[in-house]
Amino acid sequence: MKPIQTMTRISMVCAVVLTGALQVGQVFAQGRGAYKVVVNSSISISSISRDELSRVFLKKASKFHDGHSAMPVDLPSSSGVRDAFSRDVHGKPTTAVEAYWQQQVFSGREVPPAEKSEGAAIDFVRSNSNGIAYVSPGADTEGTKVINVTD
Amino acid sequence: MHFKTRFLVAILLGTALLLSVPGVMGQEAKKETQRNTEIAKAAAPASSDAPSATSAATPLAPPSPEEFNELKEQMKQLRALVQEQQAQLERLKGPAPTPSSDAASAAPASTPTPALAPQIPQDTVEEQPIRPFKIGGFANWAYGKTNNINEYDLGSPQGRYDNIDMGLILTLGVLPSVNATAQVSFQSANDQTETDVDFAFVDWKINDKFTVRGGQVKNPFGLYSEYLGVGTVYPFNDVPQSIYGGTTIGKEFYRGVGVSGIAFTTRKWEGTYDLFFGGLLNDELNPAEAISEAIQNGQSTVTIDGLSEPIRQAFGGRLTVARADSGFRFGVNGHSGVSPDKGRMTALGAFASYDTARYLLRAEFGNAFESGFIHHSGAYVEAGYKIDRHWQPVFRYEWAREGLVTPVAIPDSFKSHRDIGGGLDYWVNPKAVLKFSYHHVDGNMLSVPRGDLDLASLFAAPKTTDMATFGLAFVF
Repeated sequence: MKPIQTMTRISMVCAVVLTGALQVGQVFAQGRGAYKVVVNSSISISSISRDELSRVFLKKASKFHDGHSAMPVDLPSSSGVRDAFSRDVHGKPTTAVEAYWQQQVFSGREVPPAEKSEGAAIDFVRSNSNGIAYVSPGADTEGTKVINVTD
Repeated sequence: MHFKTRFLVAILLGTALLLSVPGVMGQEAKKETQRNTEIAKAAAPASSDAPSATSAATPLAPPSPEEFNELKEQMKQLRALVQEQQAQLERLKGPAPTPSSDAASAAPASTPTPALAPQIPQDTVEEQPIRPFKIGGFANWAYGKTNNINEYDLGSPQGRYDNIDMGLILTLGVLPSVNATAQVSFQSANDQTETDVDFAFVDWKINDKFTVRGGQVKNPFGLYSEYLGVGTVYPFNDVPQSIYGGTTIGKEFYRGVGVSGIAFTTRKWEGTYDLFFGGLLNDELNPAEAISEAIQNGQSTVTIDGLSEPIRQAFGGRLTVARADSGFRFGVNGHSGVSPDKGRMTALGAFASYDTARYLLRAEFGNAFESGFIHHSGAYVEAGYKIDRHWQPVFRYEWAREGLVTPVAIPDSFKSHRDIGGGLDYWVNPKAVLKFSYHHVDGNMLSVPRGDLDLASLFAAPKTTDMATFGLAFVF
């Protein structure tokens, strides 16, 4: 194999690897790693399945699997963390989740969780014994409990 | 030089591919790109591993020291170029809309910024109960015109500008598990206006499987009974007439008591149910029956208009099975009650829908029976495709048929209906939409002149009608 051909191939591989690595970073950022779920420290659960988490935030389940009541709060609809959470947990973008809530509101069935800024959401979880929220990975969550999200 | 050229081409291709990712997403939504950047910032510790992974891959097959050094230099330049362009993108995007969340998310996990983080004194912990409180509203306006003397749905021969439907819905948490809901609406159509309390009910959520409701409640029938007037829910300016437009199949509300809840759940599927008992209101447009009565009574004129009558001792329900993550759902529904004039009236139907961010496919059919001698059948299929976040072409085919046993012959066109419609929606955002549609209607069952008419002129009414509509709808 000629050195020039080898170098060409290496350069191609490097470009693809670099592109791929950075894109993987982006995909990762849009998925599970782009948020963390926090609950009040009095809640005993340490992990929650994505399915259960979705049901809690869509108010289809009013309690966690251990029987503890759940009171979710959402981030504002313009939040990128919320969109990442919606896509990863509900399997749809925030706009679709908003459409779901539109139907719930206008059929008189349920109202969506309160929307709070990240700081206010953490404050709510910290001070409400049933509170649950999702925040960005870098948020200061002292006084709350971070739980794992499982498949 | 040849190698360098190829190398640079490869690098540029890679860079273009990389930079095209936010570009392509930006086609979908500039906001989306902004969100992704915000997320990427939040996940900085994770994604910062990427360059080191790339560096590790570089020395896999070093051909010669000179070329290796040259390659390293090129990689450095590429990395600098990518970083510079990402910084430029950040500058172009400007500040994020939510300063508080952005401030927190911009900070890397390993280096929290206490000055920007909310300072919550731990000793002031106080329970913050959330009692549901929500004011929502909707508004629709539409213009409709038919091409002949027939009136159909929103359209009239002169052009109807006053198709207006506005409502405010208020949901208030009375107790932690008890909500009160009321909807007040203003409606205008055909030079008649009406202000009314559409719905007022209280629901008590005992648990996720059992909620009790009482009052005047939205009727859980089909895909649209609970959303009549909320134009952002359906793709055309009005709901399909074959089910909801005077065929006595779909009814808007019930007055009485009902229960609803989750019947079952699996990992992917969910079943919900609704049951009720009380009274219904039957809205009907039945030119064939009016003509039949006029002929039997020896009249030369007939009044064609919609009629409303109460249905008593009614009961009904709906069972829906949905797979939330895919947007697919289907179900069956029905109701039955007693009309003071016509005896028992029963409607049965089924529906299915597939709604995603891009695709919309909905179908429904139903049958209404009146004491065995008359019945309506109706069905429709709707489809839509979101080309981008604004434009959505939509299509509908609907069909209805009336079975009427009378001693006199009625022209068949008054017992049949078919509407083929196409339209284009422009979504300003998910809560506001402009709609244009064109319909070709065959039959006079629902497309017919209105008012006091002599039978001869009624029989001469065109059997086909074209209608154009333009409207807007929004919710808040």
